[in-house]
Amino acid sequence: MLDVNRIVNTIGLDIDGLDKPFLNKVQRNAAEYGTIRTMRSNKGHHIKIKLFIPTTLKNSLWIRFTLNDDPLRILFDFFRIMDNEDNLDILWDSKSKKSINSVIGVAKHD
Amino acid sequence: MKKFSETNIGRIGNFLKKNTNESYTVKDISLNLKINPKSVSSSLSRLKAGRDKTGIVNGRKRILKKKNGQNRKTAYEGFKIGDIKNTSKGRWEFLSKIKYKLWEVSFKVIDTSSKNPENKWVTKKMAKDSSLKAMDLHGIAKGMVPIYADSSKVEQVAANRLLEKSLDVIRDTWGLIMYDSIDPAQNIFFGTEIINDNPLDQKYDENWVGDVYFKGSNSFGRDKLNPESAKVTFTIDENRY
Repeated sequence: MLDVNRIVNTIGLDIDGLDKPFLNKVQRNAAEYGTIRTMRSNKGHHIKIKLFIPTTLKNSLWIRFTLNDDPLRILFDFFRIMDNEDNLDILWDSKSKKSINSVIGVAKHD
Repeated sequence: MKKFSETNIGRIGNFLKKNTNESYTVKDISLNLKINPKSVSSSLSRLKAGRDKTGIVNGRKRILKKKNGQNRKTAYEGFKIGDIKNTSKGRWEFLSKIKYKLWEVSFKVIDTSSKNPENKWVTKKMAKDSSLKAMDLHGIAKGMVPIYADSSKVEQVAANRLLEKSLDVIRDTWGLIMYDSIDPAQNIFFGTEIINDNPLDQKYDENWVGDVYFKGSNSFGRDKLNPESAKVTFTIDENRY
């Protein structure tokens, strides 16, 4: 398991949907935690926050939760922490769907 | 050129300059700096195009004109015309051709249990000095870092890697295994410093080159002319910053 007390300086938020009042609310709240930078994503917006006060990894998950980050992202990051996989809080510019069979097929060939 | 201290234009310009080559929306800047979006928008336009140049014409203050009738413009101090641009729809950024800076990172093992003032940060020169009785383990390396990375990021990425690699080098060179005897959260002091803001080489070089120095409690590494040091090299991918 990864060390949940390690310090993080930035937090990423994935806001799906193009609801402007909702985005405004998230941006306003996020700006209380640090310097924000908003980018368009395929489905909505990504917000990167450079924290004014660096916090622990554990707290960063709570902050993401309170700022309405995609709950599945938080859940998957939680699994990654449990699995000792240091590949957290990534905001993907593009994603593509793959069938599970094709992935398993590749793994078998390897 | 007009001097300004804490005007909105100055605050916005400095904010973008601090985050060079990163684009922000008007809304982002407005929320980050707590400035009305309309003021942000107008300040950005002024920073982009400069301000009207005035002069005394026929004894009266007038906006100076070019031959084609357009107003003559002058840049705000520190922001040349064209430095700040709207790169894509609704996004503004301070553009810089300089993409990388040369940094020096270092680490030093400190003795947290001792109150001895000699155990503060030991420079390279002091480490060579055999009169100091304290043990010493420190390393220094230089390498290229993208302009947007700050010192905490450089420390997290490069200084930590220097420490890891140095421990491997002192194991392979002198057979000293120190992985378990130091705690990076307690016994290590990391340092980062920009040594060249505008290096001539503008291509990213992933190679870091440096040295690790060791001085033991006995005679090991205490030769004044030839201190124990070993070369440390490692690579860091640009995407890690």
